[in-house]
Order: sequence, then structure tokens, then C-alpha cells
Amino acid sequence: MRDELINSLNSFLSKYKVDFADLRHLRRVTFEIVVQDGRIYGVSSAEIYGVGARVLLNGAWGFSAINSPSKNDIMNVLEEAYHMARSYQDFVTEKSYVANVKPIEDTTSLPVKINPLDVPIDEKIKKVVEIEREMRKYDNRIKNTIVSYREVIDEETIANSFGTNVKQKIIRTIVSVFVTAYEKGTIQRAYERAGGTRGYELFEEFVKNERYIKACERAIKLLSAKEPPSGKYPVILSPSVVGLLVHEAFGHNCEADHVLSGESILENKLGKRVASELVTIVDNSNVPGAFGSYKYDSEGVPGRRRVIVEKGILKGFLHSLETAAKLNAEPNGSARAYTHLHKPIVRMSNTYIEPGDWSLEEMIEDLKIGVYCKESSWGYVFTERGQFTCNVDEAYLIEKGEITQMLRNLSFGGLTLETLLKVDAVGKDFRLADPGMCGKSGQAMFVDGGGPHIRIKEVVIGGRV
Amino acid sequence: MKEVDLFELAKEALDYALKYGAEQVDVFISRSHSMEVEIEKSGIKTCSIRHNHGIGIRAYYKGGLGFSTSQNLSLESIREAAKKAAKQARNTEPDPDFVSLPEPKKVPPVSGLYDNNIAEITIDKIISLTKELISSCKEVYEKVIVNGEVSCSSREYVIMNSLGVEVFEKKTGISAYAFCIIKRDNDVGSYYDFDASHTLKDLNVYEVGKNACKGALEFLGAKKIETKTMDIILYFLPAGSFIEAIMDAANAESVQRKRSYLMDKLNKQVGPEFLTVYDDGTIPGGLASSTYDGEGVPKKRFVVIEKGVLKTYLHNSYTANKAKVENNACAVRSYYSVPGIAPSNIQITPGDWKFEELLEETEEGILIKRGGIYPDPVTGSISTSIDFGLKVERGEIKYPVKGALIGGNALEMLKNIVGISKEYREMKGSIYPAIKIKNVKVSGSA
Repeated sequence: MRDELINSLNSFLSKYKVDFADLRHLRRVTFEIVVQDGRIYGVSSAEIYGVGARVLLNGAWGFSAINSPSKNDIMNVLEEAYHMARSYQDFVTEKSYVANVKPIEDTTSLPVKINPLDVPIDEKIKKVVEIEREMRKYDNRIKNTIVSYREVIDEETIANSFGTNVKQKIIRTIVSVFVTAYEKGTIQRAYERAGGTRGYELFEEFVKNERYIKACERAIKLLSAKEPPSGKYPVILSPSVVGLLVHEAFGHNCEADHVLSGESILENKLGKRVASELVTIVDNSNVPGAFGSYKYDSEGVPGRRRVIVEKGILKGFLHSLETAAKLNAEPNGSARAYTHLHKPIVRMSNTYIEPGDWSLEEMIEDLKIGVYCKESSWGYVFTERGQFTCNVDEAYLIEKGEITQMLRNLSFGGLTLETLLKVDAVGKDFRLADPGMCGKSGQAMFVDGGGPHIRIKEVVIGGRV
Repeated sequence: MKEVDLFELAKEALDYALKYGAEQVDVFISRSHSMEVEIEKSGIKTCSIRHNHGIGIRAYYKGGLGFSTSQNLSLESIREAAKKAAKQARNTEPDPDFVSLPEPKKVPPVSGLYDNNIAEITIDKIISLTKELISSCKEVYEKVIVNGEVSCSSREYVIMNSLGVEVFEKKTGISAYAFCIIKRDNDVGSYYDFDASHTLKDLNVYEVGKNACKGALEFLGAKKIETKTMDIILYFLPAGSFIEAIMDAANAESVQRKRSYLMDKLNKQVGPEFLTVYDDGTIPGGLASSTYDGEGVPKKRFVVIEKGVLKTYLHNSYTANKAKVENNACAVRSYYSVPGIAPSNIQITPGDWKFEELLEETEEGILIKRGGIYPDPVTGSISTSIDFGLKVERGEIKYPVKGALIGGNALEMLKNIVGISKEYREMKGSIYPAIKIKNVKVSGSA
């Protein structure tokens, strides 16, 4: 396939004069086992397979993609992309252009300890069945249990008109458990999930550390948890919630395509203070084993460690070839596409706050009243106004320097330009702990996040009491 | 590839899965073409075209499910996928609750779901609609930043099962979306609107642009508010998405698995007498209409909430058989996943309040114009930001709010509905009037 891509691209380039063109081929093989309520609910496999082409012509972008292409289809998508670009080249209001990069030729794969394909299917099924059985036995108030084991193997090949020719293989393993508990008219649920650019060893660790039991414990404890308070409170956030916060409150605003489209509240803030000096935010696609890691982005540019905020000062954005060119920055390998049917867009990878020197105990003992947010759930943001929301699965009230009552059903929200300025303590611990799928412009993407524990002087909590 | 080819490929997959030991099989195979014109900062950014096709095969062995999907429609690949599905079915355990896949039943096609004008549309036509969308925003306010897109698709699919179901449907769709941003000094206002249709003539690009830009102006000058209990009015789209979220919890699969707050609420009063909600997948031209559901069962119109009483859950063939009730055909399907359960066109019966009256009778509250309140589908808990809310005081809209959240619970909010408007927004089949809910806890940052 790699030769076919390069040959098609070369014959296209010899026939048409364009500013830039690229071809991306993806083969994604997925295998999943789901066990629910004591029974194997389903075993499934999927194959995603196709090619996407981009052409930049006189400042206009065209894109075309097709599944399971024949040799002719590859040339066809290039020509279609060309015609798409040509169709509006006369109406371009702001010309697009890309940064010139040195071509790269490489074949690479992210290392895993145990290739999931080397483990017999029966053994995987047996293990999933076993942990689901233990979850059901945990407590008779547990009414529904789901365990899902999934392996995703991607092979992406990228060729472009600069001469870049990269093939990258990434194995990802994802395990998630879901529990519902019910008692006297109250229903609660809990998740526990792990995901990484790792092999079967990820599942083995999940089992060994009894992460699935944590979900059971949480669901049962939530049955007697209290409703959260409403209004402004100081909060302490665990690494998983810090991951969610930096992703939603800050990271999306640092995606340079949002800056170009006028959708970032950080548009004119480079070099300015946007967070307390305790805060350094990094997006790093080179963390070994992390869910958001990769060697090359979908434009064939090497991923790297990117400092977004250093000691509270906004230092830079995440870039594609185009945003780097337009904002006069160096491309930093942040353009990713979910499948061949999607265009590469600017994405976060593993986003975190760097550790400081506080202990969790010190953060808590200072507080007369506050909320400790322990497990993240989901979040979103309207970047243009910098208004974000973070939903938390497990939280606790802090009273007179001590953790007291467990709380359930809690969201906190705030404004991007205010919230991180109010960080008054950053912990010395560190963990990447929020693997998940991020949604943007109709595309999903593998990301992770984390950091140390942090404390924020004030956020708004959406409670009922 | 022609219609007959899709049938032939589906038949091949079906036969092969049976040959490899499956007892029942169903196949979904689809092929689509779509085009999209993207808008960035009030100009056209990219024109795209996509060709997407694939097959999804469900194989059952003693009720155990094996599933396989592939984007490769070559005979060889389809056979391989069918074989995998059958083998995986035999890897699972028997499911005593599985009775059967549905039997075939033919009904006349729902009209208005396919338009040749879209199937044969050119990129130039989509570009001209996109220009119209941008200029309708600028007509309201010249310096607006418009992002968004106009896109259209044409799709055909076959559903076939080993009991004789053979369904072929083709659909077209076109949609327009505008997200408007207006910046003044350090202030930012934003808002969005969209429209979608199966037919070209029914898409109103002009209204989308005008509404989105007017909204962005309206949301300039947002203020923080204090924490307080007050009334909220869900404007048309947020009201629709709130009721749709309730329908998600009425998913029979979730109810049977005991993971829904509606699980013991059948035939019980969950809302006021004046709340009635229908699900209707048979409306000609309805956005979520279809002749058959994702398993090839004819779509229906049925009442979900009648005079405040929950009358049914949303079923597919598995959950209906398990509950021994009539299947109301809510299976939704794509080739790359097993069918889920979802509502189609939601029709909330309009109430007898004028929208102006709902506002006038509000001493203090928030009018939520976009976004909304999304209860957790398991617990019904609500803790969510007010993304596009306007403060209402003594019956008048005062200013947009920022940094505010709502806390509550779906069942409590349903009970606290005090009024539904006569006016509504019709989204090609769905009917969304405004809904007023009393005594909601609003957390502010002032």
C-alpha cells in the first residue's frame, strides 16, 4: 500500500500544479469483548480501512476520502480533492498555506510489552468473565455490571508533497467497567477505566490492581452520599480532575485552529499571565504508554513536549502545518485525524500540569470549608467565551481541615481567564489519569491528562442544596 | 455499485454466517456519499467529499451475539467478516432472553426522505448556499465572525435477516450550521443555529444565519449572578433536548438492565397532566423518519408520556421479546456498531400558555436559549452549566448570564414543570414548545 500511495502521489504531482498535497492511509483493526450481568454479551471485531487526500490549491483546501480503495481510487481521491479545492479558489477570502518542513522517511511502531494478538481469545474472554463475576459478588445492591475489553491496532501511512513518507503502528488497549447500584429508590453508577498505547499488560495490571473493585466500592458508597452544596467554594482536584480541567478550561483554547477561527479567548494572550505562577501546563505526545501518545501526527510531523503555560505565562499553542505557518510558529506535530474519513485538525495529546511542592494533607488542612473532587467524568467548553464545565463522579466535603462527607452528582464551572489564576497550591505528586476520547468538529480522538493534586481558591459548584 | 449489488452482498454475508454455524443472522450494509463546505472566520475554508461504505453482521448462536464489521465490500472480505461473526457468536454464552430476530413485514414507504436534487447536487450549489449563509449573518451585523458548515449526503442501505426481512431504503439529507461570534472590547457574545432537511427546498439557510447572528448580539454583556432558587424557561431547542434526554432513560435495554431512573416508573405519573410526548418515526419528510427501524421493523407513532404518565419504554426486537410487549421499533443502526435504541421525531404537545405569558409570569428566572439540561441517564442527576441563559426579572429579559450552573434531578424537574408554550419550533417532524420549570437551584459566581 505504501508504494501505491507514493506512486499515486507522484503521478498526481506530475500532472497537477498545487501548493501542497498529502495522502493518508489507515487500517484500524478492533477487537472487543463485553460481559454483562454474568454473561458474555458480545464478542466483536471491526476493520476500518481507507485513504484520505488533501490538496491545497491557490490557498484553497480540498479533501476527499474513500473506504477500501482500489489502485484507481487512490488517484481518484487526489483528483477529487483537487476539484474540491478548485471549486472555491476564486472565493477564497483568506488564503491557506502550510509551513515548509523537512521531509521525513520512517517506519515505526510504539513499543508494547505483550502484543494482544499473541494472547489467545479464550484467555482474554476468561479473564473478562472472571472480573465481572467478582464485581457481581461484591455487594447484593449491585444490579448491573458491564466489563469491556478492547484492543485497537492502527497502522497509518502518510505521504506528502514535501517528500515525507511515514508509516506508524500504534497498539492501544482500553478496559472499562461500569456498575449500577440500587437501594430503596436510589440508583447510582460508577465507572473505572484504563487506556494506553500499551498491549495486554495494561489489562493484566488493571486486574492485578483490582481497579474493577474500585468501581463497585464507589457505586455502593454513592448510594449514601449527600447532594453537593451550591455556589462558590474552594476546591482541591485530584490528578484525574486536573487532567479534565486543563483539557477543557485551557487546552482547547490553545489549539491554534481555534485561534485562527476567532474561537479562542487566548487569541491575544501570548506572553501574558493567564494562570497563577505555580502553574506550568504541558501537552506531551511522547509519554511512553500514555493513551494520547504517538510518534508522528497525521501530517507526518514528529510529536513532542510542548510547553503551553510556563509559571503562569502563556508560551505557545498546539499547531498543524497550516496554523504554524499562519501564526509564525514552528510546527509541533499536533494535527491528528480520527480516521481516513476525517481531515487532520489540531488536537491535544497528553495534557497535564507539572508538579509543585505541596502535599495533599497541607492543602486540606488549610481549608475551613471546601470540596475535594476525586474522580473525573466528562466536560466541555465554549472556547470563544472561555466558559467551561467539569463533571465529577466522586467528591467529598472538606470541613475544618478534614475530609468529611462524600458528595455525588457534582459539576463545577468557571471562566478560562479567571480559574487558573486562582490556583494557590500545586502538589508534588503526579499521575496521568484521565484517558478518554475527546470530541471536536465531529471527530473523536485518543487523549489523556493529569498532573498533581491542585487547589483552586474558588470555583462555582452546581449543587442542589 | 447498484441496489441489486447491495442485496447480493448482504445475501452472501447471510449465507456465509449460517454456513459457519450461526442460527440467526442479520446484515446491515450501507453506502453513502457526502459533501461539505466549511466556513472559517466568515470565509470558505475547505470543500470535502467522502465515500463511505461498509457492512455490519450480527450472528446469533443460542442467543449469544457475535458481531463483525468491515469497510471492505469485496466478496472475500465480506465472507471473512461473516465467518468471524459466526465464530464469535459460538464463543459467547447462550442467552435465554433472546427469542428471535424480527419476522418480515412490508409497509408502504414513508415519503419525503429522498430528493434527487440532493443526490445530484454539485459542489457549486453547496458553495452558493454557504455564501448565502455567511451573508445572512453579516446582514444582521457586518463584523460578525462566522464559523460553520453546509453539508449534504446521499445514502442507501439494505437490512436483511435470515427470517426473510429484506429492506432497501435510500435517503438524502442537507444541513446548515452557523456559529456566530461577536467581539467588542473585552466582551464576547456567541450563539448558533442550524437547520436540516431531507429535501433541498425545505432548507432555510437565511433563517439560520439571521438567528445565529442576532443571538450572538443578544449574548454580549454577560453578567455573573448570585446563587438562588428560581424558575427556568427552556426555550424550544433546550426543551426538546431535555425531553429527548428523558426518552434516552426510557430505553428498554437500560430499564431491563436496571440502570435507569425510569425503571419503576411505567404507568406512573412522572410529569404534570398537560405534558404529552409522542415518538413518531413515520412523518413524511421527518428528520428522524424512516420506513423501517434498524432491524427492518416498520416504524410507528406511539405515545411515550400521556397526560404526565409514562406509557411505554423504547424497544428493539430483543427488549420487546424479553418484556413480552409489542415492539415499537426504536432500533437505530449503522454498519459499524450493533443496533442501539433511540427515539425518532419527538413531538411535545404544545400547551396553552403564550410564550410571552410564561415570561411575564416569571418573577425571577433564567431563559435558557441553547444548550440545556442533560440528566445523567442512569441516576437522573442534573448538574450542568448554563451556557446560553438570559436573566429574567419581573417578567422581562434583563441580561445574559455567565459562570452559572444548575443542580437538580430529572424526575423532580419533570414534576416541577408549570407551563408549556403554544408556540413551538418544528424541526421537520419534531415539535418543541418552550417549557417552564419552577424552583430550580441556580449557582452563581457573583
